[in-house]
Formats: sequence, C-alpha cells, structure tokens
Amino acid sequence: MSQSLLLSQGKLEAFLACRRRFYLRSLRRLPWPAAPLGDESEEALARGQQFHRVMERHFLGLGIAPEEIDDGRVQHWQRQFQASGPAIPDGQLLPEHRLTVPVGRHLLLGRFDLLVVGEADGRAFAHIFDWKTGKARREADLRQNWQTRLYLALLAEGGGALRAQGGNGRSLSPDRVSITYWYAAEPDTPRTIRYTSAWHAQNWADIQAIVAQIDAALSQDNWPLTDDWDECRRCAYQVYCGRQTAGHDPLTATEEEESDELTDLSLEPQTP
Amino acid sequence: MAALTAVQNETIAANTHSFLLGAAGTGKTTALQQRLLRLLADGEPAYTLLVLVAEPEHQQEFLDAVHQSGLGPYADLKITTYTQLAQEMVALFWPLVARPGGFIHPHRPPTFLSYDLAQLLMWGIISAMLREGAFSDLRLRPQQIVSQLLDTLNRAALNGLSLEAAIERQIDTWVGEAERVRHLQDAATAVTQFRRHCLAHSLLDLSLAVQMFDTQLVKHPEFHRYFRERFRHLIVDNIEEQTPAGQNFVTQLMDSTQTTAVAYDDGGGYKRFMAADPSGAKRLRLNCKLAFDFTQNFVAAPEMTALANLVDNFLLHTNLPTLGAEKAVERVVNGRYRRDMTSQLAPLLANLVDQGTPTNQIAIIVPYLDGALHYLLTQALQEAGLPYFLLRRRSSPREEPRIRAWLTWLALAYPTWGLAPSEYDVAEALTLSISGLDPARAALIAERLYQTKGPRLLPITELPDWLAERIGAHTINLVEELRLWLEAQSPTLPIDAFLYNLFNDLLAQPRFRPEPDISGAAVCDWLVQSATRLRQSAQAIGLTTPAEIGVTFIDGVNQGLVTANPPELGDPPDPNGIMISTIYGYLLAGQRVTYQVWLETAATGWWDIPKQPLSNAFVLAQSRQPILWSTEEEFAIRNQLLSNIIRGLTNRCTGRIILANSDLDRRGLRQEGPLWRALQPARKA
Ligand code: SF4
Repeated sequence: MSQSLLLSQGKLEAFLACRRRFYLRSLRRLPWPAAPLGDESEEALARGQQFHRVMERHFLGLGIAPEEIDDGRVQHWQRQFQASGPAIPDGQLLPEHRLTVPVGRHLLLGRFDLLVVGEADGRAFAHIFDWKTGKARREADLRQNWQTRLYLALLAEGGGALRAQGGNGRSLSPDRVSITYWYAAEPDTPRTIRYTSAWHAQNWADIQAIVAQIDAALSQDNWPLTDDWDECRRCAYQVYCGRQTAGHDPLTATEEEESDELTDLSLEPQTP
Repeated sequence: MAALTAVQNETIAANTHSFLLGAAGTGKTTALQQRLLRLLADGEPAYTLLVLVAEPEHQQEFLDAVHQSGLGPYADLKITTYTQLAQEMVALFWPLVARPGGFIHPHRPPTFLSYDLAQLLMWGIISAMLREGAFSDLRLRPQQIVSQLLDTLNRAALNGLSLEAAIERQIDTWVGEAERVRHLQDAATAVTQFRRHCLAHSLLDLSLAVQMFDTQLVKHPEFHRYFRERFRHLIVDNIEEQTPAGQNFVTQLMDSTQTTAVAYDDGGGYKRFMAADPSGAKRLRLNCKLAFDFTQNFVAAPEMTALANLVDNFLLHTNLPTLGAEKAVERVVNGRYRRDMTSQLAPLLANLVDQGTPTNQIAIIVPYLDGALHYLLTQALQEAGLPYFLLRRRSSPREEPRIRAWLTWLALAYPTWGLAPSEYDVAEALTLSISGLDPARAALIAERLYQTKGPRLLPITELPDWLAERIGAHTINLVEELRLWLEAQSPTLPIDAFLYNLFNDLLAQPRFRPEPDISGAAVCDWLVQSATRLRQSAQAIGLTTPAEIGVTFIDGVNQGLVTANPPELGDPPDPNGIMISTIYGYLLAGQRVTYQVWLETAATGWWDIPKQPLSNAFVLAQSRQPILWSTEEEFAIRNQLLSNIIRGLTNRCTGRIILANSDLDRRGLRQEGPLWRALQPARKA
C-alpha cells in the first residue's frame, strides 16, 4: 500500500491503542455497527457541541446574548465564560480552524476550537484555546495527552501557514506556541501549557516515529490485534475480532467528535 | 502531468475575475486546480480561498492536487458544494436567520433533516391526507408522491422562488385534464403543511436550508462582513450545474473577492432536475473581466465529435459534420431479448480486457437498471470473470434482503406495534440469520412456527419430530434462542439499541454465523445509524412513543423510501472493476474511460424524462416564463437533454463506444427509441 493518509489525533490514538482497529476503521473502512450512546452521553455530547457553536459565534463577533440560548446548562456555561473566561491575547481570532501539516508522505490534521495568531514583542505567536464541557483533568495529564502534543507540534511545524499574509516560513518557534484548556466545570482555573523547543524536538521525533511505524505496518500489511483486552471493551469490532469475552464498558462520547472525512450531508434527493 | 496549454497558463495567472468556457475534457478543472496551487504558492493563506464544486465527490480531486503538490502546511482550505455550504452557514449563523426566517422558536437549535427523515415527515403528512381521499385517482405509489412533493419544495428554493409562487406556477401553467389541478392543489396543501411543521419545530430540510441561506443570510450584513473578511479568492468548477440560488451566491461573493475563476462546461447542466440553470450560469461571463475559451479537447477524438453531431442532426435538425462517426462505434451488440444482449456483451468486454484494457477503463451506461436487468448483467459479467461495481447514487433500503430480515425481527420483538410480517418474510429472515439454513427448511419452520396473529414465533416444541429431525438439532436450537431473545426485549429499548444488540449479541455470533458477516454488518450499521437519526428527531417530527418511532421506521423502509447513504449491498464492490452507472450518475461523476457501453441503446429511456405529475422541474425553472406547458416544449426539452447527454458521454470517452441493445423490452415490446434511430448511419457502417 502506498497511500497518503490524513492523520488526526483520533487516528493516531487508534493506531497506538490497536493497530487492527486503525486498519479496520481508517484503511479498510469496514463498517461495523457501534453501540448507540446512552441518553445521558448523547445529551452531554449535544450540549458540548452546542456550547462549541456558541463560542464559535462569539469569536466571530456575532454577539449572542445568553438569554437567546435555549438550553439552561449551555446558557450557564456561557455566563461563566463571560464572567471568568481565560484572557484572550490580542491578535487574529480564528475559531474552529483546521491546520494540515505534511509528515513524510502523510498529512497530520488538527482542528482548534479557537486559534489566536499575532505578534507580540516583535515575534509571531499562536495560542490555541480548547473548550471542555466534561470532567476537568489535571494539567499533568493534559501535557501527556495526544491532543496537546499533536496540536502544539502542528503549530510549531506548520504555524507559518496561518499568518494573514502567508508568512514566509513554515514554522513558528515552539516557545511562541501555547494551548489553554478551559473547563466549564472549573471556569476560574484554565490550564495553560506552553511549548518549548526542547519539548518539540522530542515530541516531533515521537510523532515521526509513530508515522514511521504506520509506514512499516502499511508496507508489511501487518495489523496485529492488541494485547490489551481492555481496549476491546469499547471497540465496535469486538465480534469481528472474536474478542467477545472482553466484555463491554458503558459507552461515553468523547468531547471532540472529530470528523476528518468528507461527508455527504445527505439532504439531497437522488439524481434520476 | 501533461504540459499546460497557453490558455490554461493564462487562467492560472489571471489576477481578476475570469470565466473559463469549454466542453468536458478541455482541461478547465486542471486549470482551476493549478490556479489554486498557484495562489497557495504565492503565499495566499488557504483560509482565504473558497472552492465550490458541483458534487461532493469532486472535492477530493482538489484536495489531492493540494496534497500532491508538496506545497507544505495549509490551514482551513474550504472546498465544498453550494448545498453543503448553505447548511453549514445556516447552522453557524442561525441566530441571525431564525426569527426573520419565520421559525416559531428561534432560540431552539436547528435540526437538519436528512433526505430519509424529510421523506418520513412528508410520509406522515400525506398518510393522513390519503385517508381523507387526497390524490385520489393519481396513479402513483405513496413513495413517489412523497419524493415529488419534496422535489417541489427543493426546486422552489433552489430556483429562488417562494413556495407560494412555485405552487401557483405549477397550477397556472397546466393545460391538461382538470383532475391534475386538484392533485396539484393537494400537493400545495401537503407542502405547505410540511413547511409549517418545519418552522414550528426548527427543522430544516434541504429546501428550507437553501431558502434561509439564499433569502436571509446571503444579504445579511454580518454574513457579508464574515465572507468579505475571510474569502479573497473564489474558484467555481462546473457553474453550469449551479442553481439560480447558487449563482446568486456566487454573484454576490464576486463583489467582494479579489479574483474569481468560474468554469463552465458547455453542454453540461445535468442537474436540471435539481434546478441547475446552465443558461443563467453562462450569463456570469458578463461579470468577468476575462473570458477564456477552452477548445482543445484532450479526451475526445474527432470521430466522437462526429458521432455526437450525428445525434444532434437527428434530434435538433442541425447540419453538423458527421464524417467518420461510424469509427467511434467499436461494435453493435444486438439480441432479441435482454438476456441475449448481456450474454453477448460480457465476452466482448472480456476480450477487450484480455487485450489489455483495464476493467476500470470500461463503463456500462444504462438509462435505468431494473432488478431483472441488474441480475442479467451482473450474472453475465460474473460468468465472464469480470469485476464490476455499481455507481449507486441513492438506493431504496427495502431492496436489501438483510434490511427486510432485521426489520422482521424488530416487528416480531414488539408484537403490540401491530406489524405482522408475512410468512415469506419470516422464512427469508431465518435463512439470512442462521448460517447454513436453506430457504426450503426455513420455509418449513416459518410455516409451522410463525403465527401472523400476535404476531409471534412458537416454541420449537411445536415442531413434529420428523421435521425437527430434518432441520437438525443445531438449527432448531438457534431458532429457539432467537425466539427467546426476541421475547426478552424490553418494550422501552430504543430501536437503534435493539438493532445493534440483535446483530452483535446474536446474529453476528459464531454459532449463528461462523465467518464474520461483513455485508450483514454494513447493513446493520446503516440501520442503526438511520434509526438513531430518527430517534433523535422523533419528537420534532411528531413521534412520541417507541411504538410510533418503530412503526414509522419499518413502514418507511417498506414503503420504499430511498436513502442518501445506502449501505454497500451484496458483495463488497471492486472499485477497479467495470463501472455500471445510470446516465446522469456517470456524467456527474465526470470519469473518463476508454470504452463506454451504451446499454439498451434503443430504449426510449435515453430520451425519457422522469414522469412527475406533481413536480415539473422545467416549469419551476426560475428563468422560464410562466406560459402554458405544452407537449412541443416537452419534446424540445427531451431532444435537447439527449443531445447534451450524448455530447457529455462522447467528451468523456477516450476510445470507442459499444452499442448494446435488445429488440424487445422487459414487457416484450419492440424498442426503437430516438437514440437508436439517430445512430442508424453509424450502426450500418
Ligand atoms: S476488538 Fe480489540 S483487537 Fe479487535 S480491533 Fe477492537 S481493540 Fe483491536
């Protein structure tokens, strides 16, 4: 196989969790029914998405008053954000922004809830903001998280593509890149993580190593089943893999359901 | 890549609004893709570029061009279709449009109705009307009524007409039997009711999404600001497939972009049934400072043009040169019956493949593919060892036996819903659920154990010993396990969870199916997702109890509602196989091939337009004067469409055409349609 893949956070995580799952889902695109979410998870997901939409509108300058929001919880989150949201630096505000960066023959993709790019002290910077409506996590955990690592690396490697006039370089200095997680559950304590050159050197090498492993798996067409049967507890391919005895975990929605495939929005009828 | 022509280079370099005009195969799309790369290479951030394509499938070509260019990182490049953009923007700017757009609860977030859900909502509306005698004497199946009513809504919005104006046009221009006016009035009642329901429940089908975008958002100052600040360069491919609403958007956007490049495929406009307005699109040329004529065809040989001319001369009474047209025809395959046609065709294609033609360089194009022709054709290809795939745009889920089977079990699990599958359905479901159970034994089980009253399956103890022995203990035990499992289901379980459990906990287990059931999984995945969508929108559609949701779901599928995202039915397709496609499916996919088979060349299907008494695509075209609809006009349109089809096909054929025909159609009537007659000189030679 020699195809070029579009690799998002979700796909990298899938590859690391179970190569077979990565192969079945992303390469073979084998449809297998996934368990529907329970009512609670579904509601939480819908609220999370609604809040992200509210924030997107806010940073586009649409100025929507909280009382215009139908859902009480989302309304509450927005009020909290207005009262104690994180400080947003001066710069160009780019809500729901995607960045695609080549790595080898593949592409890495990130989608930021809000990206602020600009100049401070005569040097370009980029700051990602990520809104979280689920359970708050510790900063130490967030530093290890693939979302943090991939997003920071993407900006360091490809942030030059963001600057309004096209910039003249492809990268931003890592120490000018940071990410802030804002949790609706803990609005006064946003977690800000600053990137560094040393961290980037290691982090980017790690990402490249994973991509090299993907390349090796592609060339050998080798997609073993995971040894960690816990992974199978949440996996749609359990029956396909013959791992029924792993049992099931209750399904919860991840907060950022990423879709990096082109979708047919399917509102249209058929052409004769 | 081949060297670029002078006109392509000029297009790529243009620094103002430009219009690219030429037939298919003249390199316009390549020029647009190179223009996109040029802008990026010049340092234009991808975020400021908007590429509008006619079909979602065309997005990938532009993305691939960027990915293969080695240009490095890029951010937020938008490549989309008009309807996707309309939906996305209406969702984003909802607070600006909801109240002025007439939504009763403007603070409630919008729910977009996929085409299958829109059909279910319309189905609910017309069911009540049918009971009261509406649409009486109209010889249409309910599913056809539903789809034509949605067509009217969509065509009105895409043509920039109000619903009232669209209804009025259809009634005012009708000259035939008075009965039709009554049907059109019933149609008006149904679509008005549908629209009211959507406005009351914040539901948006395609028509309302487009109407909101076209009449509220595009002219809204906040939206203008957003677009002006963001997009500096616009690239539009296949503007001839855009509707008046789409063109309106492009025209408005051109006021604020620095450059725009618009490509017009002369002879295209294949989406006329979805309100494409090629003549309006051509007028955009006037808004462009530069116009580039693409005349060098990279695909079609002169004999192909001659063949298309031959058809034009016959249909449109032109006098175009036809010298060498016969050279475009590789062979004429002619049999008395359809079976003769397909059995002669397959070896011919196998021969081409043996001589080195890749299978993906052959396309079989057919005006319509009914079940019997599909069977005959695919059987013949299989026998000849030729891989194939169906370019399926949309499909009706009830045609898939496993969908019927899984829904049969759903109906049996909930007997109080009052849906009793037939004994045949149960036998079929048993065959598909238990590996190794043949239809004959399944029929015997169904006959003995299934009671339509209830409906229910009886315990296996009701089987006489001789029959139990004949069926085998293993199978019998599985039937019993299935029965007990169905009985144990909670009445409050949502249908999507039921379908998921049915497959994963039971039917996909090795005792039911020793090998992973990949096709079954695809079908179940589709069912679970469709059921989830319905459940999530149920309240807004007016369904409140699990029984109402379940009955609507099963009923909808059984009524033949079509889906926009069909599962892969049957064996997984071979994307490198021979493509089998309907005419417009092929033309819109835009793929070029070496050999095209024009199947059933003598069928009038090549010249037919869909019979839609409740929704006339041509009367609803914005540019048409509201004059009476006449047979002459209809004939002229049919001729023009067939002429465009043939021009489009020949422009996408790099080798030759195979004409394949049967003397008699499926009803045994002799076929001699206009295309067959038009091609007579080329057939004879
Ligand atoms: S079931 Fe387990 S082994 Fe199979 S794909 Fe899923 S995680 Fe991997």
